[in-house]
Order: sequence, then structure tokens, then C-alpha cells
Amino acid sequence: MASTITLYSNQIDINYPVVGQDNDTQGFRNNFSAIQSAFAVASSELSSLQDNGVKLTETNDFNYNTIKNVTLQNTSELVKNRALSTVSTSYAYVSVDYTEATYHKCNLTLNASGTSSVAFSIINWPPSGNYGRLYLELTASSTSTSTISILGNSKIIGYNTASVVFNQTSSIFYELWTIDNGTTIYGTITS
Amino acid sequence: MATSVTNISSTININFPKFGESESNAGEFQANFKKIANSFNILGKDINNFINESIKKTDVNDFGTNIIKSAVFQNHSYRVNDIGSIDNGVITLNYREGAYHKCRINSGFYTFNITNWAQRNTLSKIRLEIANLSTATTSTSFIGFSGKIRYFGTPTAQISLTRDSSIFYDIWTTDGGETMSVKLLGSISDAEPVYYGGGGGGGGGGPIPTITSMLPSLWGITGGELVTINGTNFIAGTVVKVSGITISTSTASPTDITFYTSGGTAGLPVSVEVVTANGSTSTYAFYYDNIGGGDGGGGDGGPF
Repeated sequence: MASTITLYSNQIDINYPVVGQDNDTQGFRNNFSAIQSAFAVASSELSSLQDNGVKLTETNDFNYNTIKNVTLQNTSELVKNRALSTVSTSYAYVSVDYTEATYHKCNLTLNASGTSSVAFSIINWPPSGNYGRLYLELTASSTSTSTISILGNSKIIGYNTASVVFNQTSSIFYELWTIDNGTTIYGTITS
Repeated sequence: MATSVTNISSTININFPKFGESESNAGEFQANFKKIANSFNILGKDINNFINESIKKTDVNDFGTNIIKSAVFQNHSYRVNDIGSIDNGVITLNYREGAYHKCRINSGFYTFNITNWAQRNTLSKIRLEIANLSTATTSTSFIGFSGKIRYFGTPTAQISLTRDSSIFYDIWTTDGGETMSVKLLGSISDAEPVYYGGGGGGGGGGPIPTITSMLPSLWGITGGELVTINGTNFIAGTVVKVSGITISTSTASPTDITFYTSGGTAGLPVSVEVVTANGSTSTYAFYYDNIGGGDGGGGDGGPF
């Protein structure tokens, strides 16, 4: 898109009024009209740039448009510290929103009187055809047996099940990714 | 760069024509109109430069390797380069085409040549998914990478991919591709064993069923929800087992099966297995007590 401001500024008659003759005042009105139109175009174009341009001082939503051939320096990714998740009755369900952060930290207070099952549902993955990845850091309150499940068609490297049993208080790290909007979720576990 | 429009606009004679003068100098009008027109021309050029050189949230933005710094990313994703099925030989992957590259192979010898890495002294990284083209048979392939390679962990040149499975690599460089680091993440098979229930069926010589999706995967404890399994190779005689127990299906076709859930215990994971004469495959669901029976909607939030 190129600026169209000169379509109107070129209509300004810079030779009006003509020296030494009686000039029709319509010439003034024409010039003022062209000036007004040029200002309107300038205002519209600047407003568009203000609306759609990226600003250094604000959060910028690219709506999945592409940034390419860029070098990133001193960049980071957002972390979501989830509130304490308590497995009150032997199970818990946790919804993790991909759009909120790349790295989600979750402390689990496990069921004190038995085993715990915790199912994580990852929602709002990026559109199909985009590679979205998310990190999940889980820290359990005790060494009680906990079964962690990633809901959906999830496949964890090194495990033949999407539900994995842990007995530890040290943190468990999931890296989860998809390229098809979460239809299939792949993952790795570091524990 | 600051605009120079005010260099001219500031010279417009804003005190002309003078109040009380009956005769005004036509040349002064002309001069002012000329300055106004020139000011707009400069403004137009500046806007054009801004349009051409600034990044927009509504366009693809090519930074030409310029730097974005001190930014925090949220809800971002990376381009996928899915090159489909490939033949034996040297496979060229262009770094510029995506951060995630996927291909499908049969048994054979494959050498991956990754080109167009970002410039030296920048970290550029891709993830490579190599999938078995066959959904029915195991492929045995030899995978290599051309160039100067550092392997992290054991370099697994020979890989065996069971039906419809994938293997993943991370590959990165910091010197423009002169040296590449390769880490094998591991492999995943779609032929998952049963998680909480009966075992898989025996092979019958034909294609084994696959499950591509099951919705919903979160079931209300009161039951009565319609569940749809999508997949392939649901041949005649296909049955569905929930935690090892055969259930009645509502509708069935080669690619989808529907059934209604029965009630269950909150927090109980259940296996859902599709069994045919050629074999079986499974996924699982989870009972949740905040969801009533019926349409299966809801489920976000939870007790935290």
C-alpha cells in the first residue's frame, strides 16, 4: 500500500491567483478543498499506521501473521504461575490455556489419603499448520503416587501411555507441542 | 529519521493577507499554496517510507535479519514446513521455510541436508519430525545429516518406525550451518498400548485401525454423552471397548464411530479401544463430575 496523499496535494493550484488579473474566488475554494482532502488522506493513513503498526511501548497482537528473517536478542517467553492445585478427592482437572503463556508452573497438593490423578487439558493451541510448544512444570507436595495425564490424543516420547505415574516431589517438566491445533499432542518428560 | 515537513510548512505565511488591506499580493497566495502542496508531498513520502519500512500486525513482516530485542513473547507459534512423502536420497530442508519440518518416509536411506541457516553467531534451530509413511507396516531406515555434525547422545543412524509412528530430532547451529548439532529426542508410535483396560487384538493381515480424534475426551459422570471417534480402517465387525468392556455403538462407518457414554466415577481415566479383526488401537477419556450428561460441552475451569 502506498500513500495517496499526493492525489489531492497535486490538485492544489500553486499558480493561483494569477498576478495582475481579476481572479475567480472559486480558485480559493478549489484549493482549500484539495487541502482538506489531503489532510483527510493523511489522517486516514496515519490512523491506519497507528492501529496496525507495531509499537515499542505496547503489547502487540499479530493475530498469527508472520515475522520472518529476524534475529532475536534478549527475548523471553511469558510464564504463568498457576495457583496451588489441590487434589482434594483423588483427582483433579486442570485447564491450561496456551495463549496465556509458554511456560506454565503448577504446584500440586496431592490427595493425602491415597493416589491422585491429575488430568491436564491444553486449550487454545495455535492454528493447524503452526508449530506451538508449551512447557509445563509440575511440583508435587508429596511422594504419594500421582498419575499425570495429558488429555486428548497425546503421545509422550519414551512412554507408551499418555498417563504417567510419578512418586516424587522434585519438579517434573513436560515439553508439549502440536502442529495441528492440538489434534495430536507430542511431548517429552524430564523428571 | 524525523520528518522534514515542518521545514517547509513552518515558512507558510500565516499572517497573509493582512487585515485591513484591500489589495493582496497574488504572488504571496501562490507562494503559500506552493508551500502547502510541497508540505503534503513531503508528508506523503514520509508516510510511504513509514508504510514500507515499519512492521505491521496485519502483514507478513520480513526483518531482513534485523534484531528484535527485549521482547516478551506470548501465544506465538512457528511455521511448519511439511514436505510430505519423500524418496530415498538426499533431502534438502530450507531453514527459512519453517522451524518445524515434517516428512514421511518408507524404508530406505535418507540424508538430510539443511540449507539457508541464519547467519553466524546467531542460534538457529529446527525440529524435524520423520514419520513412517505406512500406516500398516514397520519401516527400517538409515538417517543421516550432511555436513559437519555433532551428535548429542548416541547417533542413531538406523531407525525402525512402526506403523504410523514418528521420530523427532532437534538440530541447531550457531555458525551459519558450518557445524550442526543434532539431538535425537526419540520416537512415538500411534500404536499405543491400552492404558487402563484390555489388551490389543491380534493381527489379521489387513490395515490396523487408527484413531485420529475422540470428542469429547472429558466425560460427565452421569453418562449419556454422545462420543465420536474419528479414524481409519474401521472395518465391518469393529467393536469399541471402554476399559476393556465391549459397548454398543450408535453409528459406525470406516472413518467414524459414535456411542453414548455410561456413567462413571469422577477422576477415573478410562481406555477407549477400537478393535477390529486386524488389530486394535486405543485412546482414553477421563470422568469429571462437573460435567452433566447430554451434549458433552463445558469442562474448562476446574476446581482450582
